[in-house]
Amino acid sequence: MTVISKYKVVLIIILIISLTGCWDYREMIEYADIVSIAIDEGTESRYIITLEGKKFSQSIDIEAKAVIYSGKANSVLDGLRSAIKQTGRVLYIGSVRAIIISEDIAKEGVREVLDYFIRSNQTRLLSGLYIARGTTAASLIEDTSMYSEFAGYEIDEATRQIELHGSYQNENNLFSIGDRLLDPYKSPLATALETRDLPLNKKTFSIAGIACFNGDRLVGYIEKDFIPIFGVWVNRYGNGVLSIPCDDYGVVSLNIYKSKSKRSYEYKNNKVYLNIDVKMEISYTENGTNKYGIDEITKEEIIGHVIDYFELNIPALHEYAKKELQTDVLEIEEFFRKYHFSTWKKIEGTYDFLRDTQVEADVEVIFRGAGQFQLRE
Amino acid sequence: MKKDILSVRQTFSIMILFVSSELILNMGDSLKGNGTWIAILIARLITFLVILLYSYIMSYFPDKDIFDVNKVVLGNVIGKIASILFALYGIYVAVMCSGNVISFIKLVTLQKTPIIIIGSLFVGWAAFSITTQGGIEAGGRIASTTWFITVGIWLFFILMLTKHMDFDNLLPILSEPIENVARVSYRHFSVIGGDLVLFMGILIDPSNKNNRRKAYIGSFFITGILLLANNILITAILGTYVNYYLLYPTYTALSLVNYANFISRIELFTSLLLLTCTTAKIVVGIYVAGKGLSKVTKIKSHNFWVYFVALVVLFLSSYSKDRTLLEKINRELLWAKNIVQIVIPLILAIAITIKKPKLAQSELIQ
Repeated sequence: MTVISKYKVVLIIILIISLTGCWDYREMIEYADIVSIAIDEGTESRYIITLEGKKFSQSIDIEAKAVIYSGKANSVLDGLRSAIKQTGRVLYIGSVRAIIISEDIAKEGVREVLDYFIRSNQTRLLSGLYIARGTTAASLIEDTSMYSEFAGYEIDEATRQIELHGSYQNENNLFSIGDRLLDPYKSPLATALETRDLPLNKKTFSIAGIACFNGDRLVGYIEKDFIPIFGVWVNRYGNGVLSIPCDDYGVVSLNIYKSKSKRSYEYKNNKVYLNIDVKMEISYTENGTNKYGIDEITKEEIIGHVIDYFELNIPALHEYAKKELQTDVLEIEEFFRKYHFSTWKKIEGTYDFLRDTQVEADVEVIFRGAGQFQLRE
Repeated sequence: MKKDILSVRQTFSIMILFVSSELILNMGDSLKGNGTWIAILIARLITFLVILLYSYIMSYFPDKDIFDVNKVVLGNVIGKIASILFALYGIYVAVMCSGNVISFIKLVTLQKTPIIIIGSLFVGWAAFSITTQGGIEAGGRIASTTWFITVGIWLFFILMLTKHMDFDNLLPILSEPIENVARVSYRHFSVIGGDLVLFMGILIDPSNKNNRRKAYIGSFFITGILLLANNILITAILGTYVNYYLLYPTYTALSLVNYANFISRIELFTSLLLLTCTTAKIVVGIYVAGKGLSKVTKIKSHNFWVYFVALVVLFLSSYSKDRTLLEKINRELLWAKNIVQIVIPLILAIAITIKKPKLAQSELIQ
């Protein structure tokens, strides 16, 4: 045997040893698979952390049931460790679909809580972040599951569907919230959830607006009625159904096929003017009023209502952000910085973009059809 | 008989894998703000000039490697010193690359598996592939059939993330001061483009003196597009700041792939991409270091030096528990890298240009 072939033999032995398996191998049964995590403020400790996990049956047809673990802790990691004590298994948070944070904690700042999840190599950054509005975060995963075995799955799926149906989809994944937390020119947003009572002592959840942050602190909510307006403002309003209130008579329901908006700025006389151009393709579905019979309302009237609705409410949303939120969640400065960087550099720090910007909306509506309804010409 | 001469296609393929390892490991730097792609573009322009320099030197010696060229052009003593520096550089590149891939695997998946086991899998395999009968040429053949699969997988998964892409994230085009852009460009060049100097230690089909240039330039355009596209698309997906703060942004971005809950959790594919690309870089580092040492020492066995270098690489890349140590060393030693990447080739090019008539008379130039 030559010298070189001895080296090869030694090397092959080392490689074979390394192929025999790894130290990290575990069976699925050894893991406690977590579906959702709720974080509330504690009294004796800083946090009360509630986990919704899967418990597998021992039978041959594996069936998973929801099981709730709860513990008091001073950090997220502590909370997860206390859950390990309860389960006796290794926690796996790679399947987490919903992380719900209580309003109280969100007001104090979410950075510390989210830091663990963003850093963890197990967490999927597609997990959704939700704020429990007017209720505890734990109650959202303990009581609300109706169609799925797991509240975490239901929250994730249902909010996605509700938002899709309502035309506006909030990007409440961990990675997009992480980007907004780290970027000093952006404000994080998250979907707010509330619990609702149902007959027979049952509960469910519904969307309670968009939670708005200044830095990492919750400052308020964009209320449900403003969500379509906000969606149009930030050009994240796609297609779906929209109900527009019509004076005192009720609502007109529309199908939105397509919606696009464009923000354009002008800086003159030391003032920033923001114009939001909206282009919308709609059709009429029904109305809930007595005034408009289905053969009473005209195409022009519907178009007029839509234009009025957006042209009035876009500046109203601006006023709301100024007064109630006092934070530039409307991305006024962020977009001005993106598209007018040199001007922004000149007025940075001296100009209050949220308060001093003049906002106008220009809405164009294209009527594509009336569905099954016959409109009066 | 080991095959040590690569065809143009094989060299081109290895070069693509060599540079593509940076797509996942992200050893280059990024700006804490917008404009990293501009810095990459500048780094690529510098790389282009440098690879023209390498091609110019080697075009005079198509059947020789850099160690022979050092001896011929710089003389026995200075040539030997230059060759030792080249060999050390090969070790350095292999250590950095294997250290980073070990950290990556340790951080992302195998947290309890001893580091030496993960390291031996990469370094051992690299050394073994060099010393087999096929030699580095066999590696070249594998690379020429895998590079487009690797790039294709990356492209396929990146395109699946189009719904997450927001190109407004790239605005403003440049928000950072020019000195920061220059710093990132310099670092990008030193960590990625400049490492291509190692290919001067590999023999390429000598039938045409422009073969090396063809491989360099062909791979330059493809890897340039890859690096730029990767940075732009990942920034569009993750945002500037997440991209900046994450250790492995491409890996994280690709982990977001979720197509109708059917194609998701593709981290395994990402890891395979990484495995293929980084092994190519480790192979080149160990091969060149082994070759250099076999030419400047009395022990002429290339295989002996390959195993020796592999053990050194394994030790250096896995001995420290501080996984950021290599990263810190890499930042501090950029200037030292430039000695091999720019200074020695520049001296060689000047010497060749001056000595051209004299060299032309000798048998060394074909």
